[in-house]
Amino acid sequence: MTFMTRRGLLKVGLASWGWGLTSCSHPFTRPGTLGNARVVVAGGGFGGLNAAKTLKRLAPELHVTLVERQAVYTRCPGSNLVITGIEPMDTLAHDYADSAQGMDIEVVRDAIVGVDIRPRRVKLQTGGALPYDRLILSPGIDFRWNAIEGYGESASLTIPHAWKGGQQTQLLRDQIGSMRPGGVVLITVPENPYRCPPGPYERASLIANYLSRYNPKAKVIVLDAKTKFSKQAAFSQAWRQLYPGMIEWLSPELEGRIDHIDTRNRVVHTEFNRHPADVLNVIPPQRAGDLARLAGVTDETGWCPIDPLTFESRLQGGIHVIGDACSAAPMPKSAFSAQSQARACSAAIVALLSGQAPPLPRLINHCYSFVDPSRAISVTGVYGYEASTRSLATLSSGETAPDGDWSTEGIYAHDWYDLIMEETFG
Amino acid sequence: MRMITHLGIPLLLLLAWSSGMHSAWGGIVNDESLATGCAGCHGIHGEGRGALPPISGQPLGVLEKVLRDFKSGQRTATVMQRITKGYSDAELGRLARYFADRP
Repeated sequence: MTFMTRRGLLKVGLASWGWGLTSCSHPFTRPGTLGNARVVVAGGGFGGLNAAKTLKRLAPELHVTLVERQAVYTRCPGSNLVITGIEPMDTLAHDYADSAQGMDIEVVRDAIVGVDIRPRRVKLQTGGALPYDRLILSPGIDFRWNAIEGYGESASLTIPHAWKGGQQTQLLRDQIGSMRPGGVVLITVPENPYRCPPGPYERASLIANYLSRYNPKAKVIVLDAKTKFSKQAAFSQAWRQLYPGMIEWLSPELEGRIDHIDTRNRVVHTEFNRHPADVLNVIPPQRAGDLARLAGVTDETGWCPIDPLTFESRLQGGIHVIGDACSAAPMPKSAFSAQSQARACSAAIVALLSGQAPPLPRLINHCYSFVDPSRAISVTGVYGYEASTRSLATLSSGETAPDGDWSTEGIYAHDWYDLIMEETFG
Repeated sequence: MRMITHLGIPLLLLLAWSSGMHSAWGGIVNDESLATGCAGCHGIHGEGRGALPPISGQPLGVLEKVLRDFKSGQRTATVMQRITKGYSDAELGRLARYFADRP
C-alpha cells in the first residue's frame, strides 16, 4: 500500500512541478495527498523533535514517525550551568513520554540499522522497517576518536569531553568539585566546525565563577586550536573583569598543535610545550552522527552537504539533514540553529509533498553564553538563501559588545532556555 | 508503473537541482517562512516568554515603528538592532503585518 502511495505522490509531484515552472505562484494541491504521505524523523534532539512538531502543525494529516533510541534525552545546551553547580543535573533530562504528547506523532523507540533508498525505508534494530516518502535525519554529532593522539573513547571515561549531555556532564562536574586547592582545569578546544562554537568559553567562564567561590587559587587554561573565537572581545572583557588572572587562553600561534595527550598523567603535549592538569576536559574534533554515515549522506568532511532551500541531502534524494550534522555554513551548529532549520525543512517538505515550490528560507541563529550565573553575552546571525550557489548567505550579524548590557541578556538567556525547552520537549 | 517510480526519483532531483530552475524554485517568499526566525525567541505563535516580549496581536503601527527604529538605531536593544538589519524595509513591513494579524 505504501509503495502505491509513493508512486501516486511522485506522479502528483511531477505533474505539479512541470506545471508550476511556468506559473510558480499558483498553488497546486490535491486534497488528501498529504494524508497518505509518510515522513520519518530520525533523532529526537532539538532538530528532530521540532521537525516532527512543525510537520504536524503545518499538515496535521501527515503521518509523522519519530525514531529515537533513548527513552530519555539529556540535553547539552545549559549543561555548563550544571557542570558548575548552578543548576541541578536532573534539569537536563527530558522524558520522550512527555514530549510531543497529543500531537499525533508516532514515537518509535528503536535504533536505525539501515537506510534504503529504493524502496525508501529505514530498517530498525528490532527487525521492522518504516517506509518513508521523506526522511529527516537529525543525528547530532559523534566524535573523531583518536584524532588527538591518546584520546579515544575509553579515555573519555576518566577524562571527560562533556560535549554530549549525560554521564559526561556529571563526571566533569564531580572532578571540578573535588579538585585539589589551587589546581588547574585545562580545556582543549578543536578547530571549526564543531557543536556550539562559544560553548568552550562559556564553560571556562562558569568554571572560573565556581572556582572563584570554592577554590580561589585554582586556574583555568583554555588550549585552543583556533587563533580567534566566537564573542572573543566580550568574553575577554568578562574574564578580565570578573575573574582577573584566573583564565588563560592559549592560541596555537604560541603553542602549536596538540601533539598528544598523556591521559594517565593528565598532561597535554603541544608542539612547543606541555601542560599538566588536575582536571582535563578534552573537547574532541567532531563529525556528523553515525546515523548520517549509515545513510550515506556524509562527505569527506564528515558532515552532510545539503541544499538549504529544503535541507535535502546533496548526496541522497529524499533524505533531509538538519541540526549539527548538516553543513549549513555560515550558520553555526547550535540548538537555536537546529530548531530554525527544523522549521524551515519541515515547511519545505510539506510544500514538496503538496507539489509546491518550497518557500525561501530565512533563518536566524542567536546564541547566549553565560559569563556568570546571571549575566550573558550573545552572537546573532540572519541567513538567507543564495540560489546561485545553493547555500546560505549572512544577511546581518553581530555580537554583544564588551560594554554591552550583560544583565539584560542574562534574563533573556534564561527565558530563551525555558522557551526552547517547552517548545521542543513540552 | 514501476518505470515511473524508477525514473521518478532522478527526474525529481533533476528538477530540484538543475541550475536553470531557480527562478521557479525558491522564488516564493511566504510570510510564514519569513517569520520563522522570529519564533526562535518570541515563540512559535509570537506569544513571548518572560522578558521576551509578545509580538502577536500588537498594533500594526507600533510593530512597524519599532522594527524600523531598531534597524535605524533610533531604538536601542540588546539584539534586535542586529536582527532587523537582515531584513529589507519591505520585509519588516510584511513581518509587522503578519504578527499584527495574529491573535
